[in-house]
Order: sequence, then structure tokens, then C-alpha cells
Amino acid sequence: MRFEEVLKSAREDGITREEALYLFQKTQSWDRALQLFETANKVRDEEVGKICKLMGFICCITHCTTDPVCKYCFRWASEKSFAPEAVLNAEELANAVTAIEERGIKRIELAGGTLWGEDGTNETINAVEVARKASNLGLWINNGPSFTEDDVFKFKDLGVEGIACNFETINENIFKDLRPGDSLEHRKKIVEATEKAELGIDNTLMIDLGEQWNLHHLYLEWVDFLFYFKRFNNFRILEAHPFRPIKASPTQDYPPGSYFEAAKTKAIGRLIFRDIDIAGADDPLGLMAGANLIMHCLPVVKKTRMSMRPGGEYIKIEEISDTLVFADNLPIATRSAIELGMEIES
Amino acid sequence: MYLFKETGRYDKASKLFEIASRVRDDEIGNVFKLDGFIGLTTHCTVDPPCRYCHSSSNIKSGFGLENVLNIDEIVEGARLIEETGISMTELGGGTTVGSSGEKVIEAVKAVKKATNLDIWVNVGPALSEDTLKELKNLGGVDVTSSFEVNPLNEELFRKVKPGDDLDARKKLANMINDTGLGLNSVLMSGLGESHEDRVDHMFYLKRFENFKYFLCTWFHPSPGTPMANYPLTSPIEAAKTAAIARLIFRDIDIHISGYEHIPLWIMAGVNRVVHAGASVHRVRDGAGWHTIGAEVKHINDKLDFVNLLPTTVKFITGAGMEVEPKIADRWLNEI
Repeated sequence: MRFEEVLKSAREDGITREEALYLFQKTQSWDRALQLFETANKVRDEEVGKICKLMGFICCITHCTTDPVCKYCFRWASEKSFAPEAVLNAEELANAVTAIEERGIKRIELAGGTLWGEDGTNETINAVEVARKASNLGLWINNGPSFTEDDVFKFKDLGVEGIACNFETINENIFKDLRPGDSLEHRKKIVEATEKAELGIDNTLMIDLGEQWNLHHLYLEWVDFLFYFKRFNNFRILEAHPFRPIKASPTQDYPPGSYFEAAKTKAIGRLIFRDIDIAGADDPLGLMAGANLIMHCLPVVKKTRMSMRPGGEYIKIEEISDTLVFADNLPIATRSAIELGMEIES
Repeated sequence: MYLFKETGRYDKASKLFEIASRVRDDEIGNVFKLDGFIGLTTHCTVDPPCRYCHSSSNIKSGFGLENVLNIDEIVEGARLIEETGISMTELGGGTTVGSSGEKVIEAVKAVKKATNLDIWVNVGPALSEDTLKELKNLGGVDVTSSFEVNPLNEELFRKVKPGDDLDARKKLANMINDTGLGLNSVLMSGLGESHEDRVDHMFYLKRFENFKYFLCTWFHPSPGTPMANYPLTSPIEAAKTAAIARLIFRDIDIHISGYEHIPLWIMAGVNRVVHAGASVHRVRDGAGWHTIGAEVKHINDKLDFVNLLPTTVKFITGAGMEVEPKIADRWLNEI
């Protein structure tokens, strides 16, 4: 294989597993990265267009009962992050979706911790019903395996657009080691049910999760992850974020994930999937790598979660009610896309 | 000017970055440098403080006397930094108005006695000509005279740095150059300047034959300061400024700030990042600048050593650049 030839072919057709692995392995410098990104951008422009999409964010609809706690979770930094007090009640949730919809956002992620068992199903359904009644937003659920695969079909009836039941890694050993209270198998079943229900699938690869300082990047596993989802007609959103070690967590001394590799993953993901939405268009490198979607727009959270800096730093926080805040991160989140010539959907 | 105006699309910006990176590789090579930082060496008495600096907030100043290190602390910091493989350190501080730089001389001599580090001094226009001559004689020292904004736009300078002295900074830059020391200077994007201001700023600096390091930093609003509500500058603007600087200056070191964007900086023709190596400073609440991937050691209850090298070396080499040999030996070959 030759690098330029693989990219030339990728302009027209989706790349194979072997080509994806080759691109990961051979893109080890800025100049090759720019070539890869150029091709990914062209494919994005042709297949998806030059419009940047926005996904709103509300957290939490469920608290987390995963035990033991996943070893890299925000719960280590703040017990309040996915605690019951972080969960919005019905009135708060209705206010939240209304506030976001009024700003012109078209779709929203209802996020939360994994609430195992029947309570998880009930609370997720309740949240969807409230959000559906209060808005016309496209609804995406992202609270782990808080429900069963059978429940997915109920969500379809309720008008849900898609489900994010993130793996973060496809490596079962790493999953078991870092998420001992969770279940990759359960998550896979939910993804398969989502496909059967013809709902959209969103999934996240966390770059360098589980990597140690003396290991090379796990390219083969990342390729496995990407091609695992290639089998699904309804795979609609790819997220690839670098691992961020959380202070006070068991993984606090693990190496941070590479932004460079995350950008490569977005670009290679674009060449595999062509016309899906790829998150990361708020970051210049992500945008240059073919991303077209900005997640976590206008996050609405309970005040108890403010220490987690919803929306990031340098963001204006507004009160919606006595208990809720709204982070107006749109100017910063959309800035790179605007500066680099993309339109923002309206 | 043309390049600033025409690179408002990702394909054109990418092309600019590609050319800037090729010029860097051709003129300087493939080594990405990481500096140490020791501060504060001196405190700041500029009054009123610069409007973007956290010294102008109503919270505890970062450039007050309480954060100034004594000579023993500076030397200890220098030794720790040298052990990491870093070859050059910034001795940074605020501008003590009216000072001729006695503390700086003392600090530089002490560091030179204890280590083999090269030094760049960054304390504003608080250095006399005699001090500069003495620094030149010591060898291995470069000096900073920053403007942050276009030195030809006095109105903007006075607006953002009302207590500072533009003429003093211009004089310092000339003295540094004429003494034969390496001159370092800083442009901060996002302080209300236009693209034309940035271009004028860069061509102002081009007149100095000893202009050696150009730091393209970018404005981050500090809470409680008069500019707290100014927008955070875009990393794209910072990257474009650095890339255009590379095409103007060709073979000098172009630094930038923000280690989390290292891959973008590498693509933009940058070859150095500030505060991305190892630093020694007073203990700070919270992580301060240094968050993801930083190893923080308390030297004592007042002094912190913050080492970002394991992370930044990984980011740099992952994007295809090399690091200096001693840094590679310590952080790549030993891991």
C-alpha cells in the first residue's frame, strides 16, 4: 500500500479494515496528518456538507449506581456528579428542554449515570416522556445500560431519535479492569436492539483508555471498534475523545490520551463511515479532521454540578431557576467552525 | 495581511499551516523545544496593573511579593529543572518599576553557578543597560521585552496596559539588541487588536537583528479583571498568527502557550511551547495552569515543582517531532 494511493481511493469509496490500520500506523507526523485531514474534509463536504450540527445536553436524568465506580469516572472527583441530587425532576427537565429549544438547538442528549434495574428503565422512560411533551427536539438518550434491550423499542414508540450506550473500548480486558461494575455485554445488547428498532446509534471511543506510559497506541483495537459499528445501518454519531485522567481516581497517573490520535480517529472514521456525524467540531483539530457535530451545547445541569464547570472554562453561566443553571457555551463552541468557514445549523 | 484575510476556511488554513511547518522543518529542523520556568524572580509594581492580568483583579495577585522566590529557592528549582533534561529555563517575574535588575543578576549568577542551564529573563522594563551588559558577559542568557500589543498603536497599549511604559519597553528592546543579547518578545492575540496591528507588530520586531524568540500567546480572560468579559481568544487565531510569524521570521524560535493544543501548534510551524516543560513556583490552590497529565511535587510547604514532560513529550513525539536529546533520554528511552 502507498499512503497517497490509499487516500486517493478513500476520496471515492469507504476504506477497508486494512487501510484503516495502515492509516493509523503510517500517520505519525504532522505532514501526513494534514494529508489525511484534507481527504477527510473533502469527504465530509461532499457527503455531509459544510454545515456544523449542534447537540444540546442535559444532565442528569438518572443517577449512577454502578458499583464499584468505573476507575476513570468523574465520580472520583466529585461525589455529586452523578448523585441523586444531580437528577432533574420533571418540572426541571421540562424547563431545561424548553430553554435549550428556545435557543434554536434541534436535538438534545438526555444524559445520566447508569441506574441499574427497573428503576433505571422507569426513570429513563419518565424523562423521555417529559422531554417529548415539552419540546420538539430530537431526543438522544445517554445514560448507559440503565434499561434493557427490550426497553429500546418503548423508546422508539415515545419518539426517541437515538441512543448512546458508550463502550469507550472494545477490549474486554480493559473494560473489565477499568469498569468492573459495568457490563460490555449489556451495552452491546442495547446497541443491537437500537439497530433493530431503527433508532440512531451514537458511540464513543476513548483514545488511549487503558494505555500505560510504555505502550504504543492500540490501533488494532481502535480499528476493531470502528468496524464493529460498521455493521450497523443506523450508526449515526461517532465520538472519539482523548482519555483524561481524573484527579483522585485510580487512573489519575495514567497517561492522558493523545489529541493527535483522537483527530486521526475522527479522520479515519470519516473515511470509513462517510456520511455520519462525527463529534469534535468545536475543536480546531477535530474540525480539520472532518468532524461536523458539536456535542454538549448549552448544557443544563443542577447547581450542585456547577463545580464540574459545565460547558468548560470561560463560559457564562445563567440561572434558569432556583435549582438549574445553563451554560452559554455556544459562542466558544461554534467559534472554530465559523473561523474555519463552516456554517452553523439554524 | 493577505494571509490573515484569506485563511478563513479550513482548507486554506491547512495550506498555510503546511507551508509554515515546512519552513520550520527546513530552517530550524525537527526538534521541538521545552523550557523550564522559575518564578517569580521579581514582583510587579506596575500601577494600575495591566487590565488583562490577574494582578488587576480583586483576588489575590499572582505577581505580588508573596510569590517571589528567594535565591536558594531559585537555585533549587533550577537544579530540579536541569535533572529533567531541559536545557533552558525562563526566569520570569513582574515589572518592579525603577529597578535596574539587581535581583535578576543575582539569580542568573546563582543559577549559572549551580547548573549548565541557559536562561531567558522575562521581567519587563526593569533592567538597566549595565545589567544587560553584565548578563551578556555571563553568557547563555537572553532577555525579553514584550509589548503584547502592537508597539506602534499607542492608544491600544495605553488601553490594555495603562500603568505600563511603552517607551521603556521600546528602549529595553533596543538595548537588548544593541548589547548583542538574544531578544525575546510577546504578542498576545485577542486584546482588541486588528490583524493589521498584528502584522505591524511583527514587522516592528523584524528590525531587530538579534530577535531570537517570538512568543505568540493568546488572551484568556481572568475573573475579576477589567477584561474578564472579553471573549477567550480562539486557538485558530493563535495558530494562524504563529504560522504567519513563521513565514516572516523563518528561523527564530516561535513559542506559543497551551500544551493541550500541541498537535495544532506543531502543524502551525511552532517549535516551542511555554509552560509545557517543568516549572517551579509558589504552591497554588488547585491545579493552576497545570492540569491534565502534570506531576506535581511539593518541594516544601511553599514551593511546588510541576513537571509536564511525560505528557508533553508524548504529545510532541506522537505528532512526529523530536525533543532535545537529554529530554528524550530521560522521558522516552527510560519509559
